[in-house]
Amino acid sequence: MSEPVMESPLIGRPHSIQGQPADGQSAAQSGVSLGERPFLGHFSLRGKADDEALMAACSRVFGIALPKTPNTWVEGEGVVIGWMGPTEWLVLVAAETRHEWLISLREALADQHAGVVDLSGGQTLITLAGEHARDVLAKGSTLDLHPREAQAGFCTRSTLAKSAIFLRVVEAGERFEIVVRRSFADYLWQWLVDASEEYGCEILPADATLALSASADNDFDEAVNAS
Amino acid sequence: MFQIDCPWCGPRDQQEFSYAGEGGIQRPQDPSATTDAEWADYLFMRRNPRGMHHEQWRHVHGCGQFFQVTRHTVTYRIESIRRMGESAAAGGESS
Repeated sequence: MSEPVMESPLIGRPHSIQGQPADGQSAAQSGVSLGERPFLGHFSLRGKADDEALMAACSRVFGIALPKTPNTWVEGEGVVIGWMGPTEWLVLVAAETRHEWLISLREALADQHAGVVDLSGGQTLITLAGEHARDVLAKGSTLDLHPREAQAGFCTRSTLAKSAIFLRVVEAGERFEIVVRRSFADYLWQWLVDASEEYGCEILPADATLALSASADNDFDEAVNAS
Repeated sequence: MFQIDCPWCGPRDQQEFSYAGEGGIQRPQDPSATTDAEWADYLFMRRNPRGMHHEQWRHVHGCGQFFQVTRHTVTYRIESIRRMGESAAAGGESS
């Protein structure tokens, strides 16, 4: 028996793997850049936010407290945790650390009243960035994603072009991440490519790493210190 | 279409929500002591008022939570929204 192999739900769209420059424009002119981050670890974590033992155990394993403020995400060392509901969080980790995270999470929470479910094979993550990223989302979403409403750190479940999604604002008004279920991924990808076309859409090669802002923050700090 | 002010997430479009039936319905304390008519009334009979209505809604494409809404069925105006377990509005009697 051969080893099971993970396959992206966008396998039928080769441009999502190799990338593709914007039509007739240089990459610098594209208003939107789309990309898939396949094979990430996606875990659903369920538990009660007022369970102090559970919150302490989670803080120990993640090195950061679970977000209790509705519609916010936090970032730890190699992990992003998004608030999904008062008793539910979405944990995102890089592909190659998926198994280690799952094992350490299950060990840390073994004695807690909590649930950890590995959803990695069931959903994928699409990144959307650029000056017109918000215009693309506005075509299929009822959310107000203007930076005055949805700042970096905002996340929510919602619908986009009738698909159920989890949306994370990485950079206010500029960089978004969309987590979508596997069976909707190909449809939503095609919808995004179509909706982005008028702005010049660059497709980035698939990248199985987790987008963390820590390095960007460091660059920013260095730039501030240097000036 | 209208907006609903989710007690957790704030105002969101109605399409993120699903209607979850009439609110404030009390299960009979002692089901074995109820008559068939009372039991059927509890199970099946719902008010269909022209005016204020106590409802349950669920933010199904959001935080997933159920909550209570008092809504006017003619104007669609929402009078109040409360989390489950928060004081039920007066006049919330069912059946």
